[in-house]
Amino acid sequence: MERYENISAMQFSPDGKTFWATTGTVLKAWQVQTQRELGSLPLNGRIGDFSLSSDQQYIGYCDNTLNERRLMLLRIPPRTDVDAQLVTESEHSGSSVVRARIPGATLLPAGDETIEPAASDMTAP
Amino acid sequence: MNHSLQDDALLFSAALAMPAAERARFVARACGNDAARRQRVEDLLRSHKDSGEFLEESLSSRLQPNQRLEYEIKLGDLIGRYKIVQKIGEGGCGAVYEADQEEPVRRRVALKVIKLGMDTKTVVARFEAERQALALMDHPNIAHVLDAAATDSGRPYFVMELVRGIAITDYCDHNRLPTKQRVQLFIQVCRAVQHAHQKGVIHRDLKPSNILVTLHDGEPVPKVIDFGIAKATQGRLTDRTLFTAFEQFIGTPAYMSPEQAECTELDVDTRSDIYSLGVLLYELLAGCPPFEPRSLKAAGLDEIRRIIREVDPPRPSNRLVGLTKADHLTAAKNRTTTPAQLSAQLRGDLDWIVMKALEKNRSRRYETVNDFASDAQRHLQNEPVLARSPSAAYRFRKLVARYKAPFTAAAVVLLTLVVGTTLSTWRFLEERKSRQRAVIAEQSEAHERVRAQEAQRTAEQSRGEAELSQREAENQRHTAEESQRQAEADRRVAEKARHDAEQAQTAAVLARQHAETAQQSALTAARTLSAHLYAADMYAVQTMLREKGDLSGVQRILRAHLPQPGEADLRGLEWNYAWQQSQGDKLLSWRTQQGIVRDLVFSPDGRFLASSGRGEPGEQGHVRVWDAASRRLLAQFVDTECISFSPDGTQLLTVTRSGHVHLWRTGSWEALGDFPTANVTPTPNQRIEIAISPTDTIIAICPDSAYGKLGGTVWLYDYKSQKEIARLDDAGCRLAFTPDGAHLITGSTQQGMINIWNVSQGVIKKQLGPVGYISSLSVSRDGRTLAVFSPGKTATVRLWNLKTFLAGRTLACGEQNFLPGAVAFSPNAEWIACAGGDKIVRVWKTATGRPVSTMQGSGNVIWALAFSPDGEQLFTGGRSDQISIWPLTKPKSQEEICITTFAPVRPELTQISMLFNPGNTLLVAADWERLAVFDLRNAIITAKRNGHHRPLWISPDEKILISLNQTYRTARKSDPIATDESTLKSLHAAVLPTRDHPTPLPEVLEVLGLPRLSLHRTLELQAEGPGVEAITASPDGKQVALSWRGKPDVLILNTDSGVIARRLVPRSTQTYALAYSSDSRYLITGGVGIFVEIWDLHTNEPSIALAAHKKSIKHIAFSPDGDTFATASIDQTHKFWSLIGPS
Repeated sequence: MERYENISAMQFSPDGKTFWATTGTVLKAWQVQTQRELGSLPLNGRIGDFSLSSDQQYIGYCDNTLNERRLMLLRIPPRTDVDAQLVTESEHSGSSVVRARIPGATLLPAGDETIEPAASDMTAP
Repeated sequence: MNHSLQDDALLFSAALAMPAAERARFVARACGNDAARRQRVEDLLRSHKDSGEFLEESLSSRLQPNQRLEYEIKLGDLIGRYKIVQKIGEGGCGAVYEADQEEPVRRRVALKVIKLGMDTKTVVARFEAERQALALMDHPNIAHVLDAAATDSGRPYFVMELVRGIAITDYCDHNRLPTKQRVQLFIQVCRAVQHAHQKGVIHRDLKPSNILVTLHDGEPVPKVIDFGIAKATQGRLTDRTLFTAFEQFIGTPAYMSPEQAECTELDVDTRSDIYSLGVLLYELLAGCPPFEPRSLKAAGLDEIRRIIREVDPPRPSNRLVGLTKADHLTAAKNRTTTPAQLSAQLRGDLDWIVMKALEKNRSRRYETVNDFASDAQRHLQNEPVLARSPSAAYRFRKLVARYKAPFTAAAVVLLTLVVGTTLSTWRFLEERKSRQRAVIAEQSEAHERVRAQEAQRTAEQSRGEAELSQREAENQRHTAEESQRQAEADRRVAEKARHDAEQAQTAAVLARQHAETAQQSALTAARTLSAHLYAADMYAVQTMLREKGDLSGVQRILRAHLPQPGEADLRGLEWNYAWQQSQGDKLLSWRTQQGIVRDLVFSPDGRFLASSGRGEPGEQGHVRVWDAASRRLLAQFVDTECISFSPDGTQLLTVTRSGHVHLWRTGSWEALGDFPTANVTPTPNQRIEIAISPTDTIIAICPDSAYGKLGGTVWLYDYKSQKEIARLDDAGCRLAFTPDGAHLITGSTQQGMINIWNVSQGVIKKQLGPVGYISSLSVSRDGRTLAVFSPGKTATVRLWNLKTFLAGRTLACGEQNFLPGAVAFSPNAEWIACAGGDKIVRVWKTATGRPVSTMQGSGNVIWALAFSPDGEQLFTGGRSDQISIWPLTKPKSQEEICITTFAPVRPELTQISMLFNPGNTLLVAADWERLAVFDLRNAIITAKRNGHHRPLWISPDEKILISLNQTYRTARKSDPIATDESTLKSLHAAVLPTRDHPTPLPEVLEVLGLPRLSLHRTLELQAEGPGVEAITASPDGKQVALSWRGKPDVLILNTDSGVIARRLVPRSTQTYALAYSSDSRYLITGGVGIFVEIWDLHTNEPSIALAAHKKSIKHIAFSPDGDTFATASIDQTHKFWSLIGPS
């Protein structure tokens, strides 16, 4: 069905909805139901083997650039983080204080995690 | 008949072994009608006799010590026409080499030669005895002698068939032969020894290491070797059999007969070999010899003799009981049975057979080896064995076991007869009872008949009365029939109504079904449409992200795929990744509920952040004060919109659109006072600009018109005394004090000029420009630099040196289309930042003008910009109610963590393979050198294990890891790592078969404990090719499927035992790819050729083959739901296959 550069590894996503394959320098995704290409993740280096974690939060892959082999780990925020942010934007539109959760927060310097509102904050002086 | 000289030499050697008186008859019999050959051999014998003692001594012994031809045999040396390849064995007196014969035929042979310095008469005699012994024999289970001669230095050697095999006990254990097959193999050994005995040769050193098993056409063939201490039964094998002189201890104690242990040479006969064979059978059956070899080794010579002569060994079945539990279990497993069954197998015949062979008194042993073998054969055929005293019951039991089928048939016939007879008797008795009952019934019937006749008469009388009643009833019936006809008509009407109702109901059901089908189709179509839309949108999103497009647009598309209640969630990893990318570079943002954010000001101590904003044009603005660290709302001031903190931070100033100034105490936020300033009549688009002197209590204030296109008047007030100080006409509506408070800089948006006012005098000190439309200006805290932001078509930030008033760099800011924006210096003046209508935050290094960062993701036009007092973050606000925080230095990498770098020692082998644990807290990765466990929570390596691994499976409880260790296979290749000779030798010694290591070390499956990688156990893979090509573990971890390089077969191994559960023979000549379904039931294979094959592992059905690709298949993957699998080929295509078919 599809012509492309020779792949070095392939895997269904743990939820079975998508199919992933490494073609050269990118990790491409297809939707299994429609068999249409969804796009690609531009990873660093030339990708060898790869593996998706069951929570779809990590992609481990082998960077085959030149003579070096590096084990790389790509962290993608779990959907719960993303959903939390979306809920925030819709639920708290009427309040004076925002509860926000940032994707990838665990990779950022400490102190930028979730901002929890105190009860007193909900009332403006 | 043509005989070679070699044959003549062998016959000559054999004749020499005979007593002189019998030689002529022996030669005549051996040569038959070949007179020429007989003549040649007799000439040789005659010459030998004439040579006297000359030939009795070796060449080397005849030389003077200083003339001795001493040299070691080296690899590559030529001995005769044999080229030495390698040494394969060495004894006390002789050494055995593997050699190549080049002519007259090319073949690989074994060459045995006396060791240097060992060529004494005794040793030479023993050596020749072995040569003679082997020459006498011609049996498929005895190594053949091919040639004999002496080296140039006079050391005798002979050449024999090269036996590539392993000791019989090792072979049986490695192949886990059951008891029956072991006995069958042993019988072959007996036939060989019997042949030797028939040729007059007693081996005297029969033991497992002298009986090697090789495979001919896949069948095991035992070969008896090493006749080094053989003895002739009659006469002498050679005239030099001096080595068996008085008191010499010849043989191996564990296998030595009592009479052999006596060392009385004359007393040893063929029954000594029978004893040794008994010990061999004992070990084959029970897994160990009768006497513990370690005990014998530890004992002295006399004690060894005493044990062998006097101590009765336990029966094999009893010997098992004496083993440790582990040894007993190992012995049973090596015989593919359980410990209890093994004991039962040995108890009885095999015990007696072995114990008869091991009798101390040799007259009570088997007479010949043939008797021994025959008795073992009888056991295999369930015949009575001679070793047991034959009781009638025993013979009958054996008879039954031997003729199972006839006896079973006879038993069935007998049982049938008994059952038939019983049934016949029972039926006869039943029939007799029936006859008796019939007679009684007949009598009763007669009696009843009489009674019936009487009753008939009575009935006749009653009939007349009944006819009368019948006529009456007839009349009533007519009436009833009339009623029935009426009811029938009513029923037909009702029936018709019911039928009509049923038809209507059926029509309704059909209509409902049609509706449901249509609904289902519509639903399916909608889902498919949604899926296509999702795929198209994701592709578009990827393109937008790649082109750095509108991130808010990306978010809008992504939000459109948030599932509504009842909708399928189509989102996957790619959605999350795109969402993350669409967040841009900002760290954080929060809503102020102020409609817009027009100004942002930090208090001097950095504790408070004030924001001003308002809703629609014309609405009153309001100011909010936030805790800068926690973003908590602290205070809110309505109807005011312009803000500034006093230089000492104790007061907050806010200004209404009409120019009324309010003073608030910082912290308590109580009002301190207010006063009017500029006499401004606000218009809907008008706002106020203010600036506060850093050193004084002066405030500059001016009204701004929409976007500052009109120039304005600036008033200076002392906010402490609330008095006007000065009025600066046509100053401009962009304001900034210099840090020393001496000057006020205003930007005239009308003329595009920058005016620098002397505050104390109220006059213009210097004019700069023109610069066009001025949106914002800022003075660095060191007072050296002025920055002016002009958001024209091509927007710029222009810098001036305030000391020299010379123009500095011009920094490009993209296209702002005259939309207002802001410019600001960092507190230490190191950075300068600008943002505006293109929603991008740009940061430069002030000193060099080098761009430091370009950050996207604001989503809206930016109007306000403020550095945090520590200078590490930027705060922005604009045409939305959000305040965003931006990092001044981007994190090194927000997404990717390089866990480790593997050494590029062998690039073709350093492919990293990896596996996540079910809880996604660990990543197990391996390359050619090591296996490592990474803790994903803190990205550190928690355990390592050396070797070339491929992790295959982690148990659901995350305690067990199964990994393939390919270290030995890898090492066997020409290994560039092992460059030094010693390492190479050790590696080759580890992988090539030798007598000490009969089989190469295999690749192994290692069962390891997690997370420490502790070794629990190993399972050796029996190599069928030069390395594992493809391997995968079933999801339940119970099986491993693998293929060997160069072999088509796919093996299914049980991971608990390592036993091959099934061998699949696919169509491919080489299998490259394997994949299990999630329920471990199906296995998909693919490789060389166009076919993928589906194997149902629950049945033995042949595979289903699909012509999948035009070229070989390299990859296969199974979907987690087990419905779909994917294949990829070197023809550069991949395909999806559904196992459930169209719905």
